[in-house]
Amino acid sequence: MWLFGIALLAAPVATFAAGTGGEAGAYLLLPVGAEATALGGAATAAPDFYASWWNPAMPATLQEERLAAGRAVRSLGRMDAYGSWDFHVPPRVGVGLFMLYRGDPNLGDLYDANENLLPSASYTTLTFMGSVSYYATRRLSIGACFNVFYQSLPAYNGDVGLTYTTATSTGSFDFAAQYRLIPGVWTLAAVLKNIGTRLNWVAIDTNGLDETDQYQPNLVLGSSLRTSLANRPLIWNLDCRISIYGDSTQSSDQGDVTLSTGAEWREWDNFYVRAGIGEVTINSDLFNNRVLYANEFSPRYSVGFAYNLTNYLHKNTWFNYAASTDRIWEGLDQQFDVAISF
Amino acid sequence: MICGINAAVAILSFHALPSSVYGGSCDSTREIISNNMVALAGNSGTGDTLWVASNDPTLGLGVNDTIAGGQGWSGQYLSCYPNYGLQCLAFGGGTVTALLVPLLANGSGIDPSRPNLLWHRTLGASTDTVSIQFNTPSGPIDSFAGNNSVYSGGNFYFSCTKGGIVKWNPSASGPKGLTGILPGDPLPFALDSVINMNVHPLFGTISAAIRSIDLYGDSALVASAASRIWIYNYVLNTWDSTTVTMALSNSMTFDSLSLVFANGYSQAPKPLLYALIYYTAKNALDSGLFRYHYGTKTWSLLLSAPQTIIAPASRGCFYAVDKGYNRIQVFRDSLADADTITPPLQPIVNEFAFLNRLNITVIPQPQQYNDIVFIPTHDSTGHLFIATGTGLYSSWTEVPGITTDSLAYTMRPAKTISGGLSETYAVPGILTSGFSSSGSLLKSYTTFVYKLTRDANVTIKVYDYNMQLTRLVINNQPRKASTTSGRSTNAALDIWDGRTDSGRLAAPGIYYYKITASTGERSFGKIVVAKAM
Repeated sequence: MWLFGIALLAAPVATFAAGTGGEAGAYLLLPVGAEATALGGAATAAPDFYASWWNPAMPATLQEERLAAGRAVRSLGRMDAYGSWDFHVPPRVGVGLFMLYRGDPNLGDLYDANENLLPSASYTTLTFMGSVSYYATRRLSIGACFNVFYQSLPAYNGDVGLTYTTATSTGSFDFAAQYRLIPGVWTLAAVLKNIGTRLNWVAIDTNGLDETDQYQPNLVLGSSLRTSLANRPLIWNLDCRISIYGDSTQSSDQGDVTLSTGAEWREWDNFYVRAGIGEVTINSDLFNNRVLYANEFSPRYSVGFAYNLTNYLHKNTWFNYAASTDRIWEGLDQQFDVAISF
Repeated sequence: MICGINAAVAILSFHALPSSVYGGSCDSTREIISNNMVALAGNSGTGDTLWVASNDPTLGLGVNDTIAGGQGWSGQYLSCYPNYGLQCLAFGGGTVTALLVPLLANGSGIDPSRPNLLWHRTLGASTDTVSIQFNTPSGPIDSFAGNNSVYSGGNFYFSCTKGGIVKWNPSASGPKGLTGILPGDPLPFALDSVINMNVHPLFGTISAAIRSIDLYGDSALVASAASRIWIYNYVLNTWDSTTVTMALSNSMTFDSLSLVFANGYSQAPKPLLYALIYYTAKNALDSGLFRYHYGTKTWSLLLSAPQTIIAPASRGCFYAVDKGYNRIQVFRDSLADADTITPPLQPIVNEFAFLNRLNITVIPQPQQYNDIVFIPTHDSTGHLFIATGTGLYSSWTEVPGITTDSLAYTMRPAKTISGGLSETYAVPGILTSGFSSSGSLLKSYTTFVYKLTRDANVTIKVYDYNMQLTRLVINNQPRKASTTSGRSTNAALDIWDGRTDSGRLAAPGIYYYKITASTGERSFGKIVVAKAM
């Protein structure tokens, strides 16, 4: 509940008036992993997989190695493919490696200024993350993650036609702390993301001018509570993402607080069900202009499940699936992955 | 002006013709649009084919939209008559027939320089079979305008406000099938002239005016003049104005007659007659829906101050649109040939539940419920159609009058207009933002190209990869339907300069735009925002 309190307190500061999209690194705001997606994108406090992405402080708490890979098929042709390896280095260190492809491989309806159809193009992003974490106390873990971001965009030059422009950032960090308020029951976390991310855009057919974009830093506060429902385990996650604007020209008219939450119910030992809601924006319109807020209310609703494949594959192998709305009701975003603990 | 449509075997409806019947350009390649419908006729005997006349500003008058099998819109064919307005539509003998009147180009009234059209098409055909042009004898051309048309005994009958009744035999070729029939005159006369049909001294005079006609039993029509009702037996060619008087019960004084219709499905010795009558009571002019009692030869008031749209249904039910309250009420008459009626007739169903179903279940938001054009019903099944300015709604499960529960409508809108929003793309699809090599800010923008087949309000939104709204380009702005080669795009406004709602340049990446038309369609596309090269 304290996360809700923070969100509501921060809302008046978030002076969002209409769309807040268009920020650099918007593609990094979609959840990774079928489990996290099914939980509404709320997995920061205690992610089971993809720890470098969600919480770099997590690997130090692991008792085993975790390997996961999956892909996503999203509406309007967007695609994901991702994988991670998280492991514990005794006695107190954890390491996580993560890779993500995200993009739109089929941009087939682009026209030039003379309304000539251009050749099919693609949008590609690659993300590499490596994290190190430290088990400081029985309750506290800390971690840091080093990020490499790459983007490739189609561009058009009347002389050379369709080409691509690319950008790479190699100086980005995430910092995280995980605090086990009630060990085994309630875990809290704070993750500072995208610190120092700067992308230098380089055109292949360049005139010699590079441009730089800065990704939006975010502070994500997470909670994961293990409780019960109908005498069966219930995991309830809640994430609160607060945008941080270092640019004064942005902070004057931007800013948003976003809540995501979801629950996993373990009614059956080998089959878990999940549901969640994500990207619930909390801003001043909630208090000042509810009509506008309602019109622009576009959360992501999600459901999913986990199925234990131990009987078919390796021990502690799980298949995860998630389906979520895409926020504009144009189609479903689907993710599935296979995760192994050994 | 009241215009009614009475299909011989299926649908009976009475509705107000839109005051601004408009004819515009014609693009015969388009499908008919279910909105702006002005008339409907149907046939229950041949696959529940529903014929809809659509009066769309961008298409002129289109006729012939079909529902087959009672479940869906199966095919759409368009006959387009620019600058013509529909007067009547009827179905019978496998043929749908419409009376079209010429309109001035600005839609301000009747064009006296052009003839009427008698349009018809045979069921299953994809093209018109005959278009008969004919003029009225003396006086303005609209003097011939029929308020009702019915089919019976192999002929179509049209009421004429000055010309009596015109009978047309569709099996006869061209105007040879046209026959004039004057009230009281047992001798029909041929109307074989395309232009001036001065073949009878009374034809075309106000004394021969017939305001409405309807079927009356198996071989007769009931026709209403201003203050008299005729029963015309078209087999014997006899006219009888004594069967029905214009005496009113309960101290009401008859003033004038608007229209009359018969309940041909009752088990009474004679078809029950209903009429919209203007009357004087307590020194005030009023109007109401009356039912006739043959025994006392008097009319009894069923509904006082009736709604302007009345749709008789089966089993004595009436649907009435109360324009003042934007509601449809359902009434049921006893169907008894009795002279005792306790007015006003009360709605037979839980009105609130009925309206809730209409408002919530039937017509999805933001459809407007308050622009009902007419509410024809399917006599053999009781299906109710609600024709609104935003589409046709129909029920395929309801049978009125059996139980109140049977009015739990499962309504559905008419088929979405295919191609209503088309050819959408952004020009250019790759938007370059930022600064040029010389350091000047690039003022590039992309234009959203799209076509509408009818006028609509358009919203264009741009989203980033996370589907977060980035820019509301236009919000619910009116756009005109495109011409054959043109576009609906407003080149000055339907553009995106690559900035967010807060004025910043959007970051490089892929963006998704959504164009939404108020007709219900939407289209998505992609735009790349790239840095300057």
